[in-house]
Amino acid sequence: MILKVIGLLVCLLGWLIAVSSVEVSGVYAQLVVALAGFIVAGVGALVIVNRAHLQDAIWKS
Amino acid sequence: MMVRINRARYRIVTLVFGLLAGAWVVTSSIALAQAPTEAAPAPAAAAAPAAPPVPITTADIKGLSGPAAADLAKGDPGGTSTGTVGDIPVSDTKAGLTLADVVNTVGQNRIAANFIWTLVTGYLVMFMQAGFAAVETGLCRAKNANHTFMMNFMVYGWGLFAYWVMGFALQQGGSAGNTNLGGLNSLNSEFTLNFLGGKPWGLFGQRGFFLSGATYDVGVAVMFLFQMVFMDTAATIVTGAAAERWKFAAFSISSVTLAAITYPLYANWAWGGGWTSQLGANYGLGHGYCDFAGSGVVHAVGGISALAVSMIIGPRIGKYSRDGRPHPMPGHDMTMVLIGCFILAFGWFGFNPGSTLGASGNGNLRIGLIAVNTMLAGCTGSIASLLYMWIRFGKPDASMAGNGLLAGLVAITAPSGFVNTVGAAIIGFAAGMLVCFSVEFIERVIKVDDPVGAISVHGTCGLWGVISVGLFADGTSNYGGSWNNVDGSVKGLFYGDPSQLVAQLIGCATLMGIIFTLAYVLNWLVDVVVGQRVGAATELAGLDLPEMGALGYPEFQLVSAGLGRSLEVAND
Repeated sequence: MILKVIGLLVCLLGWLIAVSSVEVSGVYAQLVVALAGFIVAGVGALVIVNRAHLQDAIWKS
Repeated sequence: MMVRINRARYRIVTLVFGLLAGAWVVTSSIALAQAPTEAAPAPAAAAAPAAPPVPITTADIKGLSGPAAADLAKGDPGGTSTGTVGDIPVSDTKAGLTLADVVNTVGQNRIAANFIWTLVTGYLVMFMQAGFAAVETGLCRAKNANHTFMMNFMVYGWGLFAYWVMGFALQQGGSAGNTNLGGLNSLNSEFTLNFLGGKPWGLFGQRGFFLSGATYDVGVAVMFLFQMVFMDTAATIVTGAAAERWKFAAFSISSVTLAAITYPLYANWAWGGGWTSQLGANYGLGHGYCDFAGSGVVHAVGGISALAVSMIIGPRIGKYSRDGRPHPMPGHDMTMVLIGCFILAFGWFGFNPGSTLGASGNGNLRIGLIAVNTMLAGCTGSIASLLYMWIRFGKPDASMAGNGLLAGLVAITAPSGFVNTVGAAIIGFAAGMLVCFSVEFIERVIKVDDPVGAISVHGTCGLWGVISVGLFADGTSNYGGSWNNVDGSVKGLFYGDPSQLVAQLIGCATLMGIIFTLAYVLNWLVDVVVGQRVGAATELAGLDLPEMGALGYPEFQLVSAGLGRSLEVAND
């Protein structure tokens, strides 16, 4: 459960990072920050939250 | 049975195929961006100044009349006497025909053309529900046919009801100003908060609940119908990913939450004047988040919600062995799948071109180009998937060819109004490749069971569609001189505006960060209250009888290949 919550928080963190790109100067720096935020959000969902579910997957029982 | 070719040959062929495809993408993109413009014509010799225009007045049209009644009574087989000045409604029969009558008729005809266009294209999108139902049911096993089809059938009812109650209001309640449909001026309340730099961030609308009060309006009704069928597309995507083990009650509640909350919020932010659409006006990021017909708003929202539900619900029994190796579970009717794909492709002619919300004025004559872009992307998507599967496994796989078509259509949905045909072909081809990689990644690497590939087709390729706006938008579209309150035409990175890609990436991060979290939390609550998944015995027996009370194919005895005997009904 805790891992799932952490994963969701990482998702939200990724969104915050991406949105913070509006405050960065230089369009290519903005691109990097926005992309980083997207990737962090993806890691939260596909890695952390998913790993929490895989820990007690039905095929492991 | 798929035939594996020699590994070395596979690697070489895949490498060559990938390099050729990549080279085509890069060179085509460079060619697109550097296309020589025609030399400006030499200035003409100075001409005499034109006479100032003389305004026409009612006096100019006095005395005009249509055909005589006696002539009309003879019939009009050639159509030359039908549709004349005699058909213009006169507001004051004593005063007779006035200029105001003529001008009002012009205005009403323009709005009528736009109403008809939006409604008819909306009807096409509604028919896509049949396509989704056929694709999903065909890709599932026969013992779940009734249940799978019913989910796609009832998502229309549940979704429409929830959207009428509150979803439309949250999405469009603050979107007044659409000149294609008469202004929609009663949708004039958007909840905003000031954020980053003190800029107003629109979060959700506050007008249009139950389409009552001032929103009981002819234009609002047209907008409601069109937006509702888009919402329903997003809702139905989830049913495919969770098929074969989703409780019908849980599906019903989950669909209501998506229609009432999840979808309308993101759609407000993108289409209802909300914060992502204003990233350009507020922060100089291109034209803000641009999503012409919904790669992000519809498909990625649906695909990412499907990802959340699939994680919560878990894989089907037998999908993975104890060491995590996946096993194929083929669908029962490939002909149904492919005809479903054709129905979807047909309906997509409503999805993308219809998103102009009109056929008259404001650059709407681009509808033909949008339709061609749509066709092309679907075509190259199916070709890419077909070739990938053929080279890799030695056979042209029908289900992936169908998914490749859908992947191309999903990916072109956002950029369809902003790109040229070469861009559309590239976007579709890339989507066709991407969906193949994504299906394997989701099944084998992150081990999420998705019976129909909905997460890959709609989630992955939806995100690609959003990103491709920021790459391939060519700056030639002109929808009334501006988009999202920023003057000029939408341009992507390859055409000189990298800031547009920033806005698109923020949209993608919002999908993965906010929408995934929201969908996950809402569906976790559904799991706590009613339980998302059916019991093991029900799943093994097939959901048709235990959940729906009737088999999809009652005259056929269904035999499980694994059990080697007839399936028995379980009650739990």
